[in-house]
Amino acid sequence: MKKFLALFLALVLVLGLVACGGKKTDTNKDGDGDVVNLTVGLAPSMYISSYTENTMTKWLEEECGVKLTFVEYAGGTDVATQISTTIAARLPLPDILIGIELDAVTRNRYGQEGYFYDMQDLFADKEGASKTFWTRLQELSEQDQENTILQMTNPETGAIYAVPTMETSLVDSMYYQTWINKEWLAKVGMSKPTNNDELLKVLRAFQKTDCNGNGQKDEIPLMASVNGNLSCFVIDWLLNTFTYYDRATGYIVEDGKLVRVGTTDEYREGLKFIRQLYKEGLLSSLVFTSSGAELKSMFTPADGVAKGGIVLGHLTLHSSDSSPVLDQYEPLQTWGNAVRRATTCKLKNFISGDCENPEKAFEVMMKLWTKEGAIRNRYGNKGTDWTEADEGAVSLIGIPAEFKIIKYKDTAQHADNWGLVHCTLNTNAEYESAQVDEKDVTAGMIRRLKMHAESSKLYDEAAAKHNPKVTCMPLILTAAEQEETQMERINVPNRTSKYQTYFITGQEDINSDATWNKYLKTLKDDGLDKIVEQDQKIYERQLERLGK
Amino acid sequence: MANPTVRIENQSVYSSRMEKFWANFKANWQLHLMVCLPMFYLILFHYVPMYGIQVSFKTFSPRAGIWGSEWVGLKNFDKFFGYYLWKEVVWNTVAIAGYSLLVGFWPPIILALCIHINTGKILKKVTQRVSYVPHFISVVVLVGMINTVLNPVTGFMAYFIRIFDIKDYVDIRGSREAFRHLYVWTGEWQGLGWSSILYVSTLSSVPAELHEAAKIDGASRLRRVWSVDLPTLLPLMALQFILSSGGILSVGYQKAYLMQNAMNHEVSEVISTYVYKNGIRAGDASFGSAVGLLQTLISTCLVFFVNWIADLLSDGEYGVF
Repeated sequence: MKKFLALFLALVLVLGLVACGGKKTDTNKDGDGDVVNLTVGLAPSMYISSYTENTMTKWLEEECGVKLTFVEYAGGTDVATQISTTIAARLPLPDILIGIELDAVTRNRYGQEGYFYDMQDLFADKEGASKTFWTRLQELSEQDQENTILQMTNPETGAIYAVPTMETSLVDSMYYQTWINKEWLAKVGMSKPTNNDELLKVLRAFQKTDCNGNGQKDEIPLMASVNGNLSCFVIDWLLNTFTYYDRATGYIVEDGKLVRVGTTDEYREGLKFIRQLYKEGLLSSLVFTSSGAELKSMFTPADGVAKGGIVLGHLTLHSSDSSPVLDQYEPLQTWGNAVRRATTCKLKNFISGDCENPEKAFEVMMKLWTKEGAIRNRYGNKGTDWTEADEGAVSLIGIPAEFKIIKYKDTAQHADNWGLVHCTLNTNAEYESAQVDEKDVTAGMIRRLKMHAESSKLYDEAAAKHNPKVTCMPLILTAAEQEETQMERINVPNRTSKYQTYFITGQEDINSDATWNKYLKTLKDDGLDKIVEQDQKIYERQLERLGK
Repeated sequence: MANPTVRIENQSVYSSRMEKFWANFKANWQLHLMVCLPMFYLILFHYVPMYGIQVSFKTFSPRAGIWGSEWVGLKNFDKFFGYYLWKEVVWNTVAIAGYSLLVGFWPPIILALCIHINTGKILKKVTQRVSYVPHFISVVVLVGMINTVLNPVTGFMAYFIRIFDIKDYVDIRGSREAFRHLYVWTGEWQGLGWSSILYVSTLSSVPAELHEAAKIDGASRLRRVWSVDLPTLLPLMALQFILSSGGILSVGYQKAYLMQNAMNHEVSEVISTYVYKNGIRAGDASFGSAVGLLQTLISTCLVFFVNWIADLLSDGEYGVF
């Protein structure tokens, strides 16, 4: 019996080891006839039930003569980690990677080491497969076009390792959308604030009054969450009433020189103001600790009683369409700078260096850049889910419609598109450019779209007022430059961010000159001057490249 | 010059040991075969990867491989010590792990004793099972529960604030002072039952004769716990303490990372979260490896140190090696 058991265990061990060894599947060999097999790596959307049986996949396969198989990664920031570990483990990457966000240095490093295919020649042939890309790029503003090309190209070699994802939707490009409770305003007998002094008065009035009438002191005069992602950046909103502040670059340009905003007197004045709001309990004490989901439950609470006087958030992410509370809110126009996210261009789509048919893979990616590809990618099948817009039709927000929605895709799982996160050119989020028959969508959704449209309009008006000359373009570092200031680029932003929080929460005294000088000195010790000097050179190099 | 007599004697001993070994092997070859599997696991996953330690001193390029990557000396260690918060990061790690060790060491023993002295079979089983359940909750869910409970506007905390009419409440989740307590005690709640399993099973093997003899001598229940049960647990307690001390620099990144926010960042940043954010996510395997090596070296020293202390205090009885 013992011998039998031992033999059995030994067999299990051997079989287990044999099972561990896998045969590598050659994904690039031609399959049936001229069909090319390609693997696609992506982080699946929770709303998509199947990518293999997806009608978007079938369309791409038919149009490009390929057979697609999928490698699904976990979502969020973990995708980059998974790609990094796949590379570190020397495992093969899928032929096409979609929606994988890597920082510029990692991206270029992987590219230079051959993990990503250099698409320079494919893009250079502007009448070839890349024609779609160049044509659609013309739809963007001149600045967006410049920034896109700048970011796509390796500053040292000119190599292009990624096809950009463009998020040009008006709603999604706002750092802050501000909603004010009009019923509360009426209750305290005030009008919408148009400057910081008025803002202070309105918030204090909200605080003192039982605005929601529930007999409890649960009013939050200014509600937001710095962890809420889109449209939630309350600190940016308030700082921009004192100075131009773009969190993406951290710079303003004065007479051709880069100035770090986090060191200026205007920035300090802005922080003093925010500190006052926080100290008086006007700014939510949960601003640094609550998540986007928690903001949603506070903005549109289940009990239907509004809690926020002024709320910052993206209605799609931070509110519930069906909540009656939303009827109380309307957009508040900023009196400061309305900064748009400079990162409308995200370099998230790659062809693997292992891909044996990069031209075909590029063709697939360019198909996603066609107008039809982009709409299919977001809204589903042509003919059943959407169709061409009627002559002269306008969208719900009053702009010329690009297409007409037939069937509204709600949050139920389906297999008719790849989901928004994988769009290569997203100009139509939130049905901004869609002709929609109001009877087909919920009243809550129409309300949301209209509120977003109004908010976008006000944001645009405010954005038109600020001087574009002070804005700094995205700065693209070479590997050597990154190596030279690697620690400084970790320490300085971290220290700035830490002090920003401490100044606002009162853990450091923003009104004390000694503390402020200590902060500036610490930044210098961390290597701020070294970074600014390097960035100035990069800025000038990029200006020269753009012929400015 | 070697002494031929000694060599002959040694050879004779060696030969007899070999004979003894082979005799033992032949008699129990089935058991030896069964040991192969864990031995294979140990060698494959714990010894073979050690050659990769060299990556700590290189800039690892997957294309070039471990041997082919470029040597860079101590650059990867500089990256860790160049971080402006490195001292805080090390201290936070030691503080959280040390606190967890001190707080988490006694409760499982007390729980095990309570379960052991309890005579009600049903109560015993229910207590054991209820206390095990939290162990199976994932870290993500646990942190979600912490957030849901402690949110002062939408969470359970809001009810207390309302009931007791607390005017100046603080969001505990952002409190620097509260972070470690929150981290350690929620971990304690989650792991208490699970950690007590070993002690419960050891206590069940205490010979009944010892208890009977103590009873005859007039010992009370508590006296028996002190004089019979606890001495039985002492070797296991020493072993657990020595092994746990090795993990004092290994606070996992998940929970700290999930509980981290802008307000508590200075106390919640531990070695693993720093490495995750600046090393692993950026594909810098060398940096992650360098920090891992550093942690291992310090942890090994700690294990030896604690073992030495245990040896010293118990006159060589409870030391593991």
